[in-house]
Amino acid sequence: MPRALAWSAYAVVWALVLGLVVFPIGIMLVAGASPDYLMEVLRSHVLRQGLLHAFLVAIATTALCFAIAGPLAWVGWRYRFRGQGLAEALVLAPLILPPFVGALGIFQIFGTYGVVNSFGTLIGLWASGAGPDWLGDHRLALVIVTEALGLYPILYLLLAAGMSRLDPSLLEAGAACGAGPWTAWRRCALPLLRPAAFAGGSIVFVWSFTELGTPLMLGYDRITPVQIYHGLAGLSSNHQPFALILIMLAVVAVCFGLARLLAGRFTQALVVKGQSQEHSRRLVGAKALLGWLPYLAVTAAAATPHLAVVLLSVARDWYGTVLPDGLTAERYQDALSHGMVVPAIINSLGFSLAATALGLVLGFAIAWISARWRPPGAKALDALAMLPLAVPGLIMAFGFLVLADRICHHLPALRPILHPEIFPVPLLIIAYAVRRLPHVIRATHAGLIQAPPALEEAAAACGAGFAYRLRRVTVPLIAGSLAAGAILTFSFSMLEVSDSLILAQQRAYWPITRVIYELVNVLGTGPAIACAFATWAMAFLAAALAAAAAFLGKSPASLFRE
Amino acid sequence: MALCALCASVVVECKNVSVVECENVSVVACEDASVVCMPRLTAVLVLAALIAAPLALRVTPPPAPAGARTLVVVTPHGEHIRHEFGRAFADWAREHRGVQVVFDWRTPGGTSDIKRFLIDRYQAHFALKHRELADVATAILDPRASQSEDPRERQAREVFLASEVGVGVDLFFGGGVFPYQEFADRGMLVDAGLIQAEPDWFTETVIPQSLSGETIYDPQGRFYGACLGVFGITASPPRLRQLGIADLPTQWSDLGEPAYLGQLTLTDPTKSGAAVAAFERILQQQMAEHPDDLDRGWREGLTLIKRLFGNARSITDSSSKPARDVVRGDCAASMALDFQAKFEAEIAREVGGEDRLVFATPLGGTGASADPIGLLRGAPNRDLAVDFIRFVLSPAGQRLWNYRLGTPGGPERYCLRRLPVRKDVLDAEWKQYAADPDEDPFAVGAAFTYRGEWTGRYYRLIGPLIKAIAMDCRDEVVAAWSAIVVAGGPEAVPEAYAAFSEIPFPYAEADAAQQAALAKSPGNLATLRAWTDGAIAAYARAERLAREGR
Repeated sequence: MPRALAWSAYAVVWALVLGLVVFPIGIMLVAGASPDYLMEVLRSHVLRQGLLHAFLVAIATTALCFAIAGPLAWVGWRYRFRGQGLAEALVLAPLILPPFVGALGIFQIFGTYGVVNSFGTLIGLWASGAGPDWLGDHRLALVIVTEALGLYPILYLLLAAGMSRLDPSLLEAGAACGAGPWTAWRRCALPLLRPAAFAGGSIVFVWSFTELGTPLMLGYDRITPVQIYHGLAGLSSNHQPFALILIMLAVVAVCFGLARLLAGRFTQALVVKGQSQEHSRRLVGAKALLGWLPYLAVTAAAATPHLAVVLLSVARDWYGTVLPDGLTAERYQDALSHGMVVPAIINSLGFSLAATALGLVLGFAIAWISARWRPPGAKALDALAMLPLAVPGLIMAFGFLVLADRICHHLPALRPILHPEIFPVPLLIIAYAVRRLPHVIRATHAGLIQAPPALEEAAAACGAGFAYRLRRVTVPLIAGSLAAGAILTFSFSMLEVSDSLILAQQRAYWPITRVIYELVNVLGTGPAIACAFATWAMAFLAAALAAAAAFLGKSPASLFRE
Repeated sequence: MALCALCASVVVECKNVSVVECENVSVVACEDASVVCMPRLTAVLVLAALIAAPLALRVTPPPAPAGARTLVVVTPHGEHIRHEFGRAFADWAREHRGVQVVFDWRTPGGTSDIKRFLIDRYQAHFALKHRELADVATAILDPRASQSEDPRERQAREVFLASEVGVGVDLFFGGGVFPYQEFADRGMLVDAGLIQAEPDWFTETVIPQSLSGETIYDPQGRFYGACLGVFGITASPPRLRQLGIADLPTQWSDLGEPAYLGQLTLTDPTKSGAAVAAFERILQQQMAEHPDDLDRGWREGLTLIKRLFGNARSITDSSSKPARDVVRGDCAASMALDFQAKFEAEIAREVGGEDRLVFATPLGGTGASADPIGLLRGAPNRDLAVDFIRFVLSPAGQRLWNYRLGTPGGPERYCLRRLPVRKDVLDAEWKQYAADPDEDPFAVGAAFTYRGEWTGRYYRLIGPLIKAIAMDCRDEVVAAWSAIVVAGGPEAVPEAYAAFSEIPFPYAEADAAQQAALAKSPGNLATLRAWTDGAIAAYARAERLAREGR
């Protein structure tokens, strides 16, 4: 690429990150940067405890995610067995459940007269209604387990992608030198997996540190994200929530830096990526069932809220019994015949596809600059683009509203096509893309770190231009990482709530989640109707992922492997 | 047909199909282009079926007629009220005004979300329109800005109150009287002129200005009660039986009994205007018991609220959710509005055939309160907006609130189960068609008199105060109250209960406390933190004393 063009593109990427990421967040944070607010946070016993609890939840959730995703990814890499594609697809189930609908499932499972207690009654452990109050007495543990069961797919996808890039010859070389399987794995494979583990671990840590929905729905309120949410009611006069966010960002930055130090410097891959399948052993017969076992166990745990939502959508009544008492299809009729549904589907698809495209282009550019080119300021660019991960969605949504105000203030002609009060589509797409930008960047960055630059250098030496190298070498090498980023962006955009609530003001632009939110609030049968539409949304997302896999000729989970 | 041995995808076996690559996936190539491999076909068919289902079931609304006018309404009301009033008013406007109307419902969330949304939008639009005052735009909605020492803040407030600055929204519909009073004070709501235009409606025999002391409409015409609601107690009979509680709770004080430890669902009063009103009724009832010693009533009211939080199992952000917890049996009781309880109880009875939720109105502890509607400053469709308010308050609109489905003048899809604000619609026809013909909201309040001068002026204080002394330190409240209950109850450990009952300020200092709590941020934060820290210390002391049996 000509030097001037490269620097111009670099400037454009910086401008986009500053305008679409830094400004919406910065404008809100400046208000919280006052020493008075910051000191108030530090003086408050309750707010200090909230930070401590958020940190503990993040640490425990990340550890639990590694405990779930690590062995799963290893089994997938080490063994081949019948139906493995299906097993790998099943463990991705949490990616397709809107979190606030999942709450309905969790209440049904763990309620006083819910599934678990009813089962206890059935086998004689306790009388009806006398079982443990899971949601009342074990909130912290439930928050950690629920978050881990919702977030492990992110780590799993990145670890699976990382393992697929491992060169088996390294392990063979280790074995040839007398190392046992564990030593070879620990000394050869694990160091090469550090970028993927760091990428996945950092996303999970930051996500769980700032996660609002799970503690909110489970009623665990002494934790910073919930305290911020509660503070939003008086935001126009009290900027303390911004000060809390600022402190959260500082904690995230320190943890990110420390983790990076602990993980050590990532070494570039020096060899071509392995094409061999020799590292994997085929399991046949009864042994194949053993291969399925961890997948089934994790899927059963993670998909239980999904299953409860599906059953709620067809349950005539479900009170004090393990399974619904009578089935009905009426809720589907009510949900799918609703006037809001079809426009919402069209809106969500359009917004999410556009956001995915925007996120991929911008995320790839940032990751490539940070991992390959490394001009001055590249690290800062990478760090700034990660900000949306640490800022609650509601705050970002308000930031975008202010951004639109400022732009339309200076360029009134843009108001009809840019301001959410009139036409929210551009801002919704940008908001969705920016919210998931960190996922694309981390996934792509991990891919680029593990992909050997020698191939691109060889192509350049042979006279290939920048665009040709990108198209024929770089992108194919990291296609799995890009697919991971794209699918995460698409899935989570389809499920995005905060931006949809604030920016999609007119009903004509409501996406699926906004409509589900509306249906949940309809008194009486509202939650059941919402479950029916949510079940449709889950089925649609699953089918879309399966269709993508079918057309790419790969099983859903193997999309992430090159 | 066969399954791929590795990925379990279905592949078609035919003479033209050959598997050219299958290291771990079923990539199938076909020499005959007309044959499609099954995974792709299946995926496309499933996707098509999923998209076709809502399209096939869709009830297509008639397209907006050419030249139709759009009425923009921000509301916390749910789909059922929006649908029925949107449809009915469109018919009314076509018939009476000859105009086609479509609704643009804006629903950013609950009352607190709407407040944040409107305040933010008014400030932004003012800054856009009055760039010279953009830096003091935050002052425009602050009634105290009129006395501000900063002349620019005073000027901004004056300019705003004299302006037609709008936010592109015509009406605010639903949410309880408190936020309406606040929005009116801020200058966001303006006189719709109906008191002058329809003087026959605003009389004691049709729509009284107040009911048992509670405001039904603003004398300046800035908001009008659209329907009535009654706060009460919902309880789960199966759960109560299981807990060994023989009597259904009928008074607010019942919910503070030790038997309800860990059994209540409450609503956050900083999120829900309805929750503030419900807690205010507890204060009112306790103060009414000691009219000569209001400080005692205030103290006992706040202590009862703390006992409720000590008994709380969970706290929700919406006043409609506790009734769901009750009907599921997750908690034994909660505070709720009558129509929410009726809805949930009816559905539960239909599907389960038993009473999973009962509703009681605490005698002397509650009255009917209005759910208003108001015209927003700078409404782009002012005439249409005023017509909508007129329709909502008309007999036709009032009947819509409670008539059964399919009755003449009744709702089309949803029975709303709300009570009218007009006395004159409670006639023989009402008895015939109403879903709750025997309920008379004007009689419910007879045993309760709301004294606005006692607590009404502190309504902006009640939420932050409860948050500071009970919600922010919920773990400590529960620990202290549990210790007292385990020790035998308040009578067994009077010192502990005295510590538990400590409140940050007496009633006589409520004015000063409100000023401090609502002072400009961050100045107010130290006050709120001091209240929380003081409460935490008192709860720790109460817990220790209870364990010591004192």
